[in-house]
Amino acid sequence: MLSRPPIDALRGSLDLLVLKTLSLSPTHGWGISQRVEQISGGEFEMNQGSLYPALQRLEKEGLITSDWGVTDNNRRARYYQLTAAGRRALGNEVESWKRFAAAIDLVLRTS
Amino acid sequence: MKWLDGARARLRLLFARRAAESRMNDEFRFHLEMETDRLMRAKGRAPDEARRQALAAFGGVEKHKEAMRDGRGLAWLGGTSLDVKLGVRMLLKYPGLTIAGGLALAIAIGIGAGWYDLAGKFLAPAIPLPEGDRLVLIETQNTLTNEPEPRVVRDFLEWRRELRTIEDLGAYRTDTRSLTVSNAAPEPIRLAELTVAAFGTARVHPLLGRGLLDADEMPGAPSVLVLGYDLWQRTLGGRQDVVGSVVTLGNTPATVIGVMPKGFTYPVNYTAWTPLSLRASYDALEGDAIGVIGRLAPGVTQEQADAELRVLGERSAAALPATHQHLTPRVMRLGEAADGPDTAAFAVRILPVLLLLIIACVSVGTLVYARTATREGEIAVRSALGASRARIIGQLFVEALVLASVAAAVGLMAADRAVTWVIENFNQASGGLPFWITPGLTLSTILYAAGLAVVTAVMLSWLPALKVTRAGLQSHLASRGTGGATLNFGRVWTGAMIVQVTLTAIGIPVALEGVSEARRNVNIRAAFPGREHLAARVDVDRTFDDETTPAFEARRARTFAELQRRIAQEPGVVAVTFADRVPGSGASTRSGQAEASAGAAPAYAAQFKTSAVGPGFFEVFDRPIVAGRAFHAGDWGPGARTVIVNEAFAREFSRDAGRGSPLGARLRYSASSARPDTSAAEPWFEIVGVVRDFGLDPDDLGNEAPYVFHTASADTVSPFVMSVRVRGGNPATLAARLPFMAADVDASLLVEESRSLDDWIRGRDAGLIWTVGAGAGVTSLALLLSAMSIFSLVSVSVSRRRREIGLRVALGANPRHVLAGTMSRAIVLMGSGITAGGGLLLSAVALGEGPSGRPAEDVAQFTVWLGVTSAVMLAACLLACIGPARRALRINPSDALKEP
Repeated sequence: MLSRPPIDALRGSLDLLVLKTLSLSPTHGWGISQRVEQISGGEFEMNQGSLYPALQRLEKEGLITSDWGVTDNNRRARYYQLTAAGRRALGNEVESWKRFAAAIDLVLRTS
Repeated sequence: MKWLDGARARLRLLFARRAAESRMNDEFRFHLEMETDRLMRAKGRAPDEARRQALAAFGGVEKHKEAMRDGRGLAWLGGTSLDVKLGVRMLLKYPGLTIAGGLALAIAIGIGAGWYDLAGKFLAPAIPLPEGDRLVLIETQNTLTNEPEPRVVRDFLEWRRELRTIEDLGAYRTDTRSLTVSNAAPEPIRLAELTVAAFGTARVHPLLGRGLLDADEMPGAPSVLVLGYDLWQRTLGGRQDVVGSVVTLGNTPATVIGVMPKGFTYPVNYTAWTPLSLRASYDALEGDAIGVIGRLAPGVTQEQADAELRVLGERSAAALPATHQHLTPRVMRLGEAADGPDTAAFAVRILPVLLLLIIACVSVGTLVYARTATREGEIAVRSALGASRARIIGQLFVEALVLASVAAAVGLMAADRAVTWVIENFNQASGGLPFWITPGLTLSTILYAAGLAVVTAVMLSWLPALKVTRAGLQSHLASRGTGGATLNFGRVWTGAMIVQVTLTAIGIPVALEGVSEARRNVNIRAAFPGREHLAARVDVDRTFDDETTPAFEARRARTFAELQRRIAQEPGVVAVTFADRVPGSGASTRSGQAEASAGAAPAYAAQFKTSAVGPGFFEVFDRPIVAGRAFHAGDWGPGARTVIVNEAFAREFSRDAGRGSPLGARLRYSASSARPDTSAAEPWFEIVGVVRDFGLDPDDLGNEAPYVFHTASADTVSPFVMSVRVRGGNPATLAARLPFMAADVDASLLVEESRSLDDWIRGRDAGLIWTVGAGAGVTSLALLLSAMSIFSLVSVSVSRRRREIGLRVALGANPRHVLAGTMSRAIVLMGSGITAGGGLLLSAVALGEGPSGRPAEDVAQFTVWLGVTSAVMLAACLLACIGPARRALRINPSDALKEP
């Protein structure tokens, strides 16, 4: 059994993971990487720096917005949040993922 | 909207570069600090170790920054700045290409920009006045003769009453008067007499005093004068108290009432303005020539004004059929060219420069191609490191753009100087260009030059870039070794070099012929004893309406005769005469034919130079009559039709007619092409004498042009050019006193361009020398570029064939054979170009396109020039091959054989 998912699958799912993480609550880039690791139980350990080009791309596409804020320990950080378009895109991505997973499951069940 | 939010985000990221960089750095710093803290807290790591692990977990910081820059669409900007720096380094590393290639491109772009600017100033000028595009002229055309009809005072009065589409309609007349200020020399000035409305259409306030008022143009009003800025500075020293001063204009005192600002020469090119008084009515075509100017009424188009004017014109034609049947008035914008569609004007502006640019780019392109060939290894390494083909092509384009931009900047500076020189010379020579044609390149011209630089960069870079980035480039890394090239000059570039050499082989003989011809003609003219003579243009001012033509002509003759009498009394003056031009300053040319006797077939037909001369003309210049007789008093009588020809005419007549002398033969000019409908035939003239050649009008072969001299009367000859022979004195001294002497005789006498005959002749030669010199310079540059192309060809060839040459030397090849093999292609290329160029040139000359029009003589002459050209070009080829040939001989066989 694989202890981590293949790197190509994680890379392709990065947008979905980011959108889902931000749907819970707005947070900054480091917070997103920690939340993904926590929620996945340590299964997903992403290359943290690759998060930022993805965040920039999602912001260019209008799925998320960002603004400067102050953290609990009084540090200045860039907070990201989902837009309405981002919520719709998340729903579509989740549906696509469920269909993909169901199809894989169907193939694997066939003996 | 999603796309709108995305577009705003993209624009923010694209343009707020500094802010985006700062944000990225802040975010990364925050992330690394938080991760470091977590590792220290959760895993108990030491600060340095925690930091190291945080960086490792983050991944390559610069890599992610580049990915974000790429995502912003700004990666190209950083790359472009590096390419520009590389382009500048390339200019410094290859000085030969930079200087020769840059000069060639600078000349091509400079000529293009200068041509574009001048053409724009003449064809599509911008009038630098308030709402200048609404200023219009009314011009009347005679549709029968296809010439303008300017005697439209009667029509002007009607238009002023009737037109609704043009307001402030005014009239103006050009005049030249003698201006005398205190005791200074009288100075002829170009004056506009104009109605108050015409003056007011400019909407420019005077610098000092006032402009013209209605009271100034009332009959009997005191004479007033408004000065132009340059005239005020020159004649009155720019005095601030000039308003109210009294100066003498012709014979009349006039009060200065104002001074106009610098650059104001409205409506065309005038230095001063006086009021134009008109009567209440005029007959059809009565009065002097006038110009009519006005402004389109608010909201009115030129077409609407033209339509209204056409109606008035048709009404006049119906009412006055005898004079107005064929007259058509039309409205034209001030500065508008008389005819020519926009596309023709555009072609005039664009096509010549494109052709010149293509020729220059072909020449420089071979050098750039050779330079690119030597960098093939560097480009292969860049490709191996991940540079895309588009990136490399972009780099080569930017490098070519740097060269083209430097050339464009140099070319623009030269074009600015050239255009300024042309305009200033026109202003001095011809009385001035219209005020809207001013020195200084327009913004449109600068943008045009920038566009030419981009086009040039594309032409220089695209072919080398496509070839050097072809598929399989990285496999050629193996052959990089010690600088070996795999690029070669294929058929396209070889063909381009042959064309370049061909054009050079044509250009050099033509330039040599031009230089030889100019030198010969300058020497011929310099032999004339012009130091003993002076010439001056003289005229008498005629005020509007106050004299009938016969009365004016009689006054003119009396005044000139008195001036001649006074000059003849001056010490050192041997003789005084007059003519319609200064000898040797460019006579008019007319076609004609001569027949040996009445009714005989024409024996001699050619183009002759003509001049109308006064009594004693030939004696003043020591030109004896060699056959027949001189002009006598009867030749100036009414109905006299006699002419004297020069020796050149007599020689050609004798050769063509098979008869010894033209005495007694008849001469008639061809009908004027400007008036094809003229029913009256040209009159016959009898040739009564042959005069010695002046030696001031040599043709292309150095032979004097055939001349026909007519008699001229002082009352009608125009222009009136007085020539004086001085012995033992300095003509320049008398030339300086001439305006004072003329003012003593009659204040309305105007003396212009009074100087020694030597100065007249030298002035004519200066333009010729400049033109020939420029041609020789461009030809020399073409030769240099050809030599550099040959150098590039042989260099690249030696570079490609290092291993082969090393092998041949190792096997004992004779160095002469190695040299021959190295240079053979270059010599064949040069020989092909010279043969092709020589063949084309001799063919054209043999078909009668040579300077003399006689094929046999021209072919013989140009064969000599081609011999010189061949020697020069082959010498240049051998010189260009020396460097690469020596490099080939120095190839160490063992080093060359070690290469893979």
